[in-house]
Amino acid sequence: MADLLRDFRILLRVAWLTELEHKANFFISVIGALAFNAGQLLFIGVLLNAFGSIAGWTPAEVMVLFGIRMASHSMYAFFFRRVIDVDLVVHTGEFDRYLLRPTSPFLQLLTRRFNLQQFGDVIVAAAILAVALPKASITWHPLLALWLVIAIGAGGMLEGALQLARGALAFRLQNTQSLTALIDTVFGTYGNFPLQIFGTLGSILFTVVLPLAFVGWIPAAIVTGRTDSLWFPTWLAWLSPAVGVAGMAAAIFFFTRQSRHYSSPGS
Amino acid sequence: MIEVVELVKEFRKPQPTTGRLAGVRQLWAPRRTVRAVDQVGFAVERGEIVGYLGANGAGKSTTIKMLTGIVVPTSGTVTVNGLVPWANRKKHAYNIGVVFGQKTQLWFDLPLRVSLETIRDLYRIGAADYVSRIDEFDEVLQIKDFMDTPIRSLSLGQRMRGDLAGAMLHRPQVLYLDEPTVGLDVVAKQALRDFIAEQNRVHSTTVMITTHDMDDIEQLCRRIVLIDRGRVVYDGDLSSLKRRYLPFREVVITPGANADTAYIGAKHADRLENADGTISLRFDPERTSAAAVIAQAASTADIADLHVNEPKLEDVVRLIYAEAER
Ligand SMILES: Nc1ncnc2c1ncn2[C@@H]1O[C@H](COP(=O)(O)OP(=O)(O)O)[C@@H](O)[C@H]1O
Ligand SMILES: [Mg+2]
Repeated sequence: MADLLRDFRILLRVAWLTELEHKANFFISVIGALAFNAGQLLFIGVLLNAFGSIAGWTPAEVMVLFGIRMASHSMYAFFFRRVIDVDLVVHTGEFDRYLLRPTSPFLQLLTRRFNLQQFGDVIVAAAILAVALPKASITWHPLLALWLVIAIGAGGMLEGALQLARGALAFRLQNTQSLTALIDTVFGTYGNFPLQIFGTLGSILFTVVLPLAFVGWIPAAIVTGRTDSLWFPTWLAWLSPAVGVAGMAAAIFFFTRQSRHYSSPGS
Repeated sequence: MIEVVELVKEFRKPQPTTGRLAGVRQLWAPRRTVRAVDQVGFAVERGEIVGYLGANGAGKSTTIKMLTGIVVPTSGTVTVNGLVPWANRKKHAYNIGVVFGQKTQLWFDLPLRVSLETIRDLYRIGAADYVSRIDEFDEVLQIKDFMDTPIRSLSLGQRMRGDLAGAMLHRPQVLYLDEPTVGLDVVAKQALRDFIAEQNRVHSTTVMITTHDMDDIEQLCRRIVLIDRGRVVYDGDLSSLKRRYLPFREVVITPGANADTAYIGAKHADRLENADGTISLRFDPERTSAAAVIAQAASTADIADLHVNEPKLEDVVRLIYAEAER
């Protein structure tokens, strides 16, 4: 573990230096992220103004949900975004190098670039939460705050896990990139809603099959005290961050397994 | 050092799918199998330099990729210094250095110095060792001239020298080179060969090299493993390979202006008249010697010039491929 952290630091340095080579992209990316999220924000704003509340949740509660979703997405983007590069790394043969070095190929994948541009997402998420959390009437407790931080981290892991598992398919299949955009879109669109609006069946599906619930809805329900909207007991909701952590562990395992099918292009 | 037993690699490639949901439909797409490496076996001792030769598509790179742990074999076993490459990946990484002519192992956008420092850190090479090894490498490879140039801006020759330094920095016991000299100029090729030979001599580094460059082979390889369509067709030393496939040598004679060419000849040598007016005396080195042939030829007529044609590995390889075609 200590070894892995040390390797992480070493690889982060190269990633950072590589990023500086491309620094012209930085501001463009941040502005792009802001513009994209502003668009989403506007969309939610319009919805709220039109309906006042969504499926029984006040505008402030929905804002909290949106903020949490954005925050866990920014955690994903910041730490795990490079998992979407698996296709590229496999098809160009860059993965050769990861297998030849005495450290984790997964770690080398994550650090192939430093995700400076993802700061844009982090800033937007922090801003939304800063506005939304005081508006919603939340009874704060230090443990609740700690739980929220963990839940946001776990939500990021879950999104990362899905993308990583998708990426791992690239070892055996071509043309899987379209799934990346699909996952992005599903999380970015449906993830922002209190899932009870999709009915019980819909909310079960979005918990069990496509686990969107963990990146916004469940943590928001806990924080705002709206666990009455969930279809399962509250005590389970408190344990929900375990899903993100376990999901990431399973995805890394799956990735490592699939990497045995790597056929290394070119000669 | 390297033990390879009945090594097989088959690639299963799905037929390409296009259109709607191509990615998903591909799961059920019919697959065709290519057997790239077929029952390959050999053993390499510490300190050997082995030339792994074969035509394009023979399976050389695939074999190297299995030996380095990049590709997992379909069946058969590989152990390198007692480790199974793909299963003991991390430990095995310390034992091997790898250079691919086609793709760099270094960080493309960054100066060579950063790549070498990163390798130093990842392999936990001490600062003093690092400095002394860079000095040592620089003597032959002259890498200090371009330490601060990004890899992407290096010439091919510089890049290969950088890659070689990167591959040897942690002083691995085995060095694999897959077509390292392709596209290089004569000077860069020679620097590479000198470096490989020196590492082998000083540190007993075991070397396995694939190449189409006959000078690489003649200068470096004491032993040749030849493969054709995934199978080993020859494993032995270079001179017996030449003897086996090219038993003849030739003395080529340019007759003097007034010489009576009809009398030029020698015992145990076949006489061939070439189109350019020269005469080849072809002989089996087991039965007579070049010196005897030359002496006899010189005594029969006036000779303006002569040279001895040594068997060329190129010819050997061409012959073997021709044989395999049949
Ligand atoms: N990644 C791959 N996927 C499918 N087929 C491959 C792959 N790599 C090599 N092959 C096939 O395996 C055979 C051997 O290739 P290779 O090992 O690259 O040969 P060489 O290095 O001797 O030129 C060729 O028929 C090639 O097309
Ligand atoms: Mg090859």
